[in-house]
Amino acid sequence: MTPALSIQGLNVAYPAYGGRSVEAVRGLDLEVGAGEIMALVGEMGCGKTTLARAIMGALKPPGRITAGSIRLGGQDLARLGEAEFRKLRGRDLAMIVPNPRSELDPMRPVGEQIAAVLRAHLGLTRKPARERALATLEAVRIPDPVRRYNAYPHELSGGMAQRVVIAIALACEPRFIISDDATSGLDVTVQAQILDLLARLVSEQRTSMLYITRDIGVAAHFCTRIAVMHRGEVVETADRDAFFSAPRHPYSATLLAAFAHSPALRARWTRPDASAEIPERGCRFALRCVRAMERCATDAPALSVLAPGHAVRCHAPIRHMAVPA
Amino acid sequence: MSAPLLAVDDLQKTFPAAGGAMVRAVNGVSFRLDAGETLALVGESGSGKTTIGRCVLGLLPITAGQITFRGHAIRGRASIREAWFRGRLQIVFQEPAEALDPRFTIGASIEEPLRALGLADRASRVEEAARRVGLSAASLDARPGELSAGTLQRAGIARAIASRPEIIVLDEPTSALDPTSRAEVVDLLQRLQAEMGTAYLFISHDLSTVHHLSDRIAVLYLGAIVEQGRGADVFGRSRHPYSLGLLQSVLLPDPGQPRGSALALQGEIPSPIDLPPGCFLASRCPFAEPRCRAERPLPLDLGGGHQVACFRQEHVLRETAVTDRFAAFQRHAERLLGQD
Repeated sequence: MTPALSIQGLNVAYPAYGGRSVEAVRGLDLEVGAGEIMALVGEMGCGKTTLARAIMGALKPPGRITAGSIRLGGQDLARLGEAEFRKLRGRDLAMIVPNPRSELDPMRPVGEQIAAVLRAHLGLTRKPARERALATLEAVRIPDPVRRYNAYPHELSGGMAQRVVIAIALACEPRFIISDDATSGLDVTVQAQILDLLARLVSEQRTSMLYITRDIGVAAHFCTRIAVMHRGEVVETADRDAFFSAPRHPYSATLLAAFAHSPALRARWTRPDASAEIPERGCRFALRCVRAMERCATDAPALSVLAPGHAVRCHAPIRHMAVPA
Repeated sequence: MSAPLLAVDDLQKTFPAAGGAMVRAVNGVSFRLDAGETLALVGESGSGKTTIGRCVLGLLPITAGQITFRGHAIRGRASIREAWFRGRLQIVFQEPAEALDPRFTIGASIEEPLRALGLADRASRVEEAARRVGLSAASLDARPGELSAGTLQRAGIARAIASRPEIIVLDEPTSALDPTSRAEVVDLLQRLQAEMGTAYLFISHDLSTVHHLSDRIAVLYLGAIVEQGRGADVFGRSRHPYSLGLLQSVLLPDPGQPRGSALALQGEIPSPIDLPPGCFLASRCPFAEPRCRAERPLPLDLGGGHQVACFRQEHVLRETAVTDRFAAFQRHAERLLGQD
C-alpha cells in the first residue's frame, strides 16, 4: 500500500555564521500510512517543528529544504511553489497548533471562520457552507452548535477554542493533518477529551495524522506508530506496541527512563559527563550515550531495519529478553 | 504537637472582574506545611494553586482567612517587608528565562536578591549556592541567552537558595523542561532538601513528578481542596471523583497500562465568577446526586491526615478500583530497561 505521506532523505538547513549552515533536519526518512496516527516525539530544538513547517511549505526564511522529497499523493511538496501550496493547505493538508486563540480571527464569529474555509476551498455557496460548518461544529462535539456558530473566540473556553481550530482543520476532510503540540496547553481532563475526538475523526474521515509532541505518554495511548527524533534525525521508528515493549535506541530508553522517576534507571541511562554538543562526525547522540563505543565517534549509523516496521539508527541497539506480557 | 512551619487557614481570595462581578479564585483553603517536607498543590488551570502560592509569598493581599509562618502573619506585601521575613521565603518560577534578567550575568542574577535583602557576605553565598546546584564558573559568567533551559533552571534554584530560605514555593519548576532535564532538576531539588532541610510548596499539574517529589498532596478544584493527604493515600487510595478523574487522565508511556475510562469527567471547569451553590464538581461528576448540587461538602477526615470533601466518597470507594499507576509504571520501566 502506498503511504499517505512519504519523506525521503530530507534536509532542512539554516545558514549560520561564516558561510556554514545548521542542519535542523538531516537525512530524514519517514512514512505515514493511510489511516495511521504517527507520533513524532522529541525534545526542544530537535527539529520537529521545522519538519512540520517544511511539510506545510511554511519554513521560516532563511531556512530551506536542501535535499530530499516529501511526497503527498502524487506531488512532491519539497518542490512546490507557494501558489500551489495555497490550493493544498486547508483542503488536502491541515495543521493544528497549540495556541488556539492565536489561530482564530478575534473579530469574526467562529462559525463564519469555518464556513469561509469551505467556501474558499470547496467553492460552496453561503448556505451549504453554513450547513456544513454547523455539521463540523457538531462533529467536534461543541454543545449547542447553532448558538456557538455566532460566538466570538473570546467567548469560548480554551478547550472549546481548540475544538473550533480542529473543526477548521478538518472541515474539508484533508488527506493529511499535522498536529504540532496541539493539546499541550490544555488541562489533562480536557486533553483526554480532545485526543479521543481527534482519534475518532481520523478514523471516520480515513485521514492520516502526524502528531508532534514532547509527551511520550500521549504517544503511547493515542498513536498507531511512533518515530523518535533527536537532533534533526529519526533515531527509531516502530509500531506503537513494538516500540513500547522493546525500545531499541539508547535515546528512546533515556526518554522512557526519565518518565519513570527511578533512581536505578536514571543512573543506568544517564552519562555524568554527557555533553550537549553535536559532534562533527559520527553519531549525533554519541556524547550523551551510555553505550557509545569507539566506532560511534567516527562512523554515523544509518537508520536500519531490525524487524518489519522497526528501524533504528544505532551501531549497538538494545537487545531485549522476551518481555513478559 | 509543635506549631507547623506554615499554616494556612480558611484562605479566601477574590479578584474584581468586569461589571462589578467577583472572581472567586480561592474559596476556603486550609493546609499545613512542616519543616523540611514537600506539600504539592495540584490542579488544572483555574484551580487557584498559583494564587495560593502568591498569597503565601505575600505578593497578593488576602481577602479572608489567615496565613502564618512560624506565627508571623502574612497578609500581603506590607507584612512581608517585616525584617523577620528577610530571605526566609523564596520562589522558583516556571520559566527560568523570565526570572533572570537577560542583561545580567547568571552570577549577578543570583546575587541580586541578596543585595535587595541587604544580606552580608554575598560573594560567599553566591559561591555556595552555585556549588550546591552544580553551576560552573563559566555558567556564572554567562548570560541567560547562552545557556540551556535546564542550566537556567539550576540558576533559578541557586537564586532561590542563596538566602537560605526555610520555605521555597516551587511554581511549576519543571513544566517548561524536556523530560531529561526535568529528571535532573527533580534530582537536584530532592538533594537540596536533604542537605538544607528546606520545605517546598510544590505547585504543579505534572502528577508524575508530584508523585515522586512530594510527602503530602492537596488536590485543588476551583479554589478549594477536594482531597489531601500523604502521597500513598491521595494517589493510591483516592476517594474523591476529581482526584480520580485527574489521575486517570494522566497518560503514562506504557500502552499496556490503559488509562481509566470509568471516571471520565465530562465537560469543562465552570467559571470562578459564577460558582455553583453545592459541590463545585457536581456538573461534571458521574456520582453526583441531588444533595451534591444543593450543599457544599466539608472535608471529612479518614485518618492519617487523609481528608476528602465528598458526600459520595463511600460510594466512590465501592465503585472504583484505584491503583498507584505511577508506581506500576516505575516497576514496568525497571523491568523493561533494567536489563540488556
